[in-house]
Amino acid sequence: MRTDRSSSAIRLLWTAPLAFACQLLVIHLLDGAALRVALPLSHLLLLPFLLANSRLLGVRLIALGLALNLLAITANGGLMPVEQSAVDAVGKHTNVELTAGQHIPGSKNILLERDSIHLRPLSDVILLPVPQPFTRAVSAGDLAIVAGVVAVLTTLVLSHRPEPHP
Amino acid sequence: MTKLRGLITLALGAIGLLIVGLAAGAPFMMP
Repeated sequence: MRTDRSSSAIRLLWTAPLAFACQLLVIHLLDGAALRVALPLSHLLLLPFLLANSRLLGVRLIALGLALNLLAITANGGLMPVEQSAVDAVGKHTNVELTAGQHIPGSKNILLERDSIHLRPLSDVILLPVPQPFTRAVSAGDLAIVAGVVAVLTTLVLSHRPEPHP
Repeated sequence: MTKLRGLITLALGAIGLLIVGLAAGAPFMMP
């Protein structure tokens, strides 16, 4: 997709659904070592989009968030660590028996004990103060990504405002 | 017509950017 106003044109946006679809396939079809290798790599499919639009501040914020998330993921063996207390607070897996070191089904997360998490401040340790079922455990990188998306959306909306008549 | 085209472009851009957020790892953007 490319908008008409060149200063705010967003390039290679079509690569985002492609990257997301690949991630969903990886998360739902793979496990073990294959999952731990393929998940971080699937994030890199966003690189062409990020590079092509790096002139936009919001896209730089998204890239920063992605880099922070990838740091936490690679430091913990290929999956994003989360603690039992956060899993309990989110409440989506109350019927599933999870053990430390286990991939949480349908997610990018691995359940780890607090002391065994590397780069813990970059992991999913921030609990959004909203009631269930909307509670989410997020990372600092996630917050940067959302800020970046909002910034780019704002740029996009402003660039499509009707131009004032002289 | 031009206005409609602009709105459609804007909507597609917004959807695409939300998917960027998902693909970059923001789980709370998931419905």
